[in-house]
Amino acid sequence: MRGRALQLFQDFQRHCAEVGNPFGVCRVILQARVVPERLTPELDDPELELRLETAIANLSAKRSA
Amino acid sequence: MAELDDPKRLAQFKASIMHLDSDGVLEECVQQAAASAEAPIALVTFVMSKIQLFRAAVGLPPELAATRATSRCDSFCQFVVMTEGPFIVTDAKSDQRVPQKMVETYGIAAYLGVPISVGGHVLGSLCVADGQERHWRPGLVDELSALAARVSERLQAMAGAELASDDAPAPAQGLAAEVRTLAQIVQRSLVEVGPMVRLANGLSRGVSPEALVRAGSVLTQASDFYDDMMGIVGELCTASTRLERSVSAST
Repeated sequence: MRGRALQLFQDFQRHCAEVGNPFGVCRVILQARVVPERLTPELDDPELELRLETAIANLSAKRSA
Repeated sequence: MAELDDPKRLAQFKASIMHLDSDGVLEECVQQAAASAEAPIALVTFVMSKIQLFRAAVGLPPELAATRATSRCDSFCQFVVMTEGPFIVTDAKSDQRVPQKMVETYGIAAYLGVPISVGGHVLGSLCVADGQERHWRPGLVDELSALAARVSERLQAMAGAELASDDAPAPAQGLAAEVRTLAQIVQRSLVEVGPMVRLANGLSRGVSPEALVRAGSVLTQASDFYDDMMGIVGELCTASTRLERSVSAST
């Protein structure tokens, strides 16, 4: 969906800042293989969205475990 | 017994088998597995370095159907890979071998998984699961093993197609783009390492008890970060080598 990848990334950035997760953002960049500067409101890339969702779910699950 | 983090095993997870596009053979196998076991859930899973990926699935809870993955440490399939054989759970709640996250979060009560292999390594499992305790009927392991052999054969064919294409020098332009992306990811992720620098600066000026507690937490998280970094730097190394080969072949 258009703009969803950017939304997912920004939401996770905000979440990391709120909960004080110092390496969350760089780990999601590495695990999802994403260059943040390429995320734009126009971007529509379902595969990238899935990678982001998977990385965020993985990191969130590990942190809450 | 297999080592979950064996680099040779992890190297088998190539893009050609890991994409999540629907595949007729894999879908048919999970459907048949669910029907044979009379179970609501059947999966083809990959047990990777950090996560368990659901390559094909029927009956997943909505949340897992969306993410198509769980943390590896929460998976039951890790035991199929470790033992390289069938793993059977009849009552997960009272089974001390299995992590309880899937039991508590998704109500998984029973499980039966058999290995799937590519390149001589067990990558994951064909498995069935149920929300009720189950005493799986005799003969089910053999039936699922036959389906798992079909799954393995299919995945091997997918991986073989990629290997064959690897033999031909890839176009330098595409490889250069891949190297550029991977390098940018490494570079961009390093920008986020400020907390470690600030922590090190603080510790070098003296260590208070509060700082020690904070340092322990940050260092644990840093260790996971470096682990992720190692993976992508390895990919960058491989892509750079292929680019060098491609450039050499064209000159």
